[in-house]
Amino acid sequence: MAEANVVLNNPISNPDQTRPTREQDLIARVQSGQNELFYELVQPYERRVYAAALAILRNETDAEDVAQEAMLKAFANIRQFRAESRFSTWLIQITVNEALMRRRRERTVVMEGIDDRREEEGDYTPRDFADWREIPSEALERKEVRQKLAQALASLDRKYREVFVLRDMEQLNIQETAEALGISVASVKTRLLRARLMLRDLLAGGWEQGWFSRLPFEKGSKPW
Amino acid sequence: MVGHENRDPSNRESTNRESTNHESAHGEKMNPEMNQENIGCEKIWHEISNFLDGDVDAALRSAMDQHFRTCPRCASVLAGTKNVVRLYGDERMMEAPAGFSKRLEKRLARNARPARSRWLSMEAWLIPVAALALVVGGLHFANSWATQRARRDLMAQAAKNIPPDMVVLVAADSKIFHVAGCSFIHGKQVRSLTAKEALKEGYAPCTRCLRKYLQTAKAGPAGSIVQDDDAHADLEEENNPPGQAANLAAK
Ligand SMILES: [Zn+2]
Ligand SMILES: [Zn+2]
Repeated sequence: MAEANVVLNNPISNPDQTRPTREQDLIARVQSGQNELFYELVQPYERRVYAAALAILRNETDAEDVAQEAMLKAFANIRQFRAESRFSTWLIQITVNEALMRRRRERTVVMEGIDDRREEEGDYTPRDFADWREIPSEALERKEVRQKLAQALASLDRKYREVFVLRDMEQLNIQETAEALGISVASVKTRLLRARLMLRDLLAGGWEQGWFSRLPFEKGSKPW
Repeated sequence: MVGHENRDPSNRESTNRESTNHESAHGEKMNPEMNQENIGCEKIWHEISNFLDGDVDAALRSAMDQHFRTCPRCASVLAGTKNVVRLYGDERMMEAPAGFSKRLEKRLARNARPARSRWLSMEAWLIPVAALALVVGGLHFANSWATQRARRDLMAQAAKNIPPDMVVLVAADSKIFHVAGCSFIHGKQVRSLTAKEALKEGYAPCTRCLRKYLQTAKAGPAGSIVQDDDAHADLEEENNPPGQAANLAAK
């Protein structure tokens, strides 16, 4: 498990509350006018920012442009940032907002839009109940595994994909996800449930097609 | 690398929802063959996401735990869903195109320059206040007895009202600490520390950017130094402060 790693690498966790973290230090300096430090401040989050934009826009060029715009917006508003919220969350929320505005402006979602107006239907029933093994996180070292996961995600309807990305990839909490997308907490929960179950089924199917076949699992058991 | 906080799903949120009332009805109907705790597979599938987020009450959680022990299908759903959350939550799933970082850095360097003119126009109204703070804040009269006492009172007051863990900034050229954004330190090299540390190191709070904390002390001696016009006059006499700052302050 990556837990220990997570704690060590986490720029937010500040076990000794009396000392500002490097991030708090950078924020304070940028807020006081040391603009040249802004890149150092946001650099650890640049991929998260890009991923959030991509989840909404589904186009790499637009996503990169919006990611940059969002960073500039964050810079312009850095003094409005208050330490009560996590800096990464603040950054992601700005990004989501920028991306949603861009999408509205460009009306690229006519098709998806129709389908999104349907409200959540009844419960989702899992399809695959195969015996389970844990997929080690090391599997992600392999590009084709990452690609398969990305494809499965991309195949989800927009409303499920967005919630899933913000919650499970960007690590926003339920409330923050709801705020960022402008939907209710109940909707976030419903969509998240479906997204997780659908992804699980999609990946179980992928297992049958041999995506993970070269992974060192025991014969006869599959990861889920 | 960026850490992902709380990657253990069971640690995530613990906003307990009110327990659902249709639990048992649902359970009895749904799952005759593996009904252990009045909870059925469909109920499990309905709540599994909340379960992973720690967003179920204790009774439901233990009923679900019990169910997972005895129902291989639901155990498989749980394990697979955990896999999904863990794998997608991995930092490695966030990839940006080649050169993204460099292009971002360039764009920031181009567009996130210090905007001098904007700064001046936005903050012009602050100049008189800043000048006042310069006088009261004790920059150039720190040696008289009265001022030192005032300063000590001010510090004591500040220590009481300023949150000790608040991150504050100090510049090399004065013994005053500020909060980020204060125009006194704009563009200066600053170092950050907590208010508690700053006070311990002998820094005094800036009366502009930390004003709200100092004003709460109106009744006390420090408050009167900050707010009272007579006090200003006294200080001016004692210190013969020449120059604009004092004149502005006196107005
Ligand atoms: Zn079951
Ligand atoms: Zn100040």
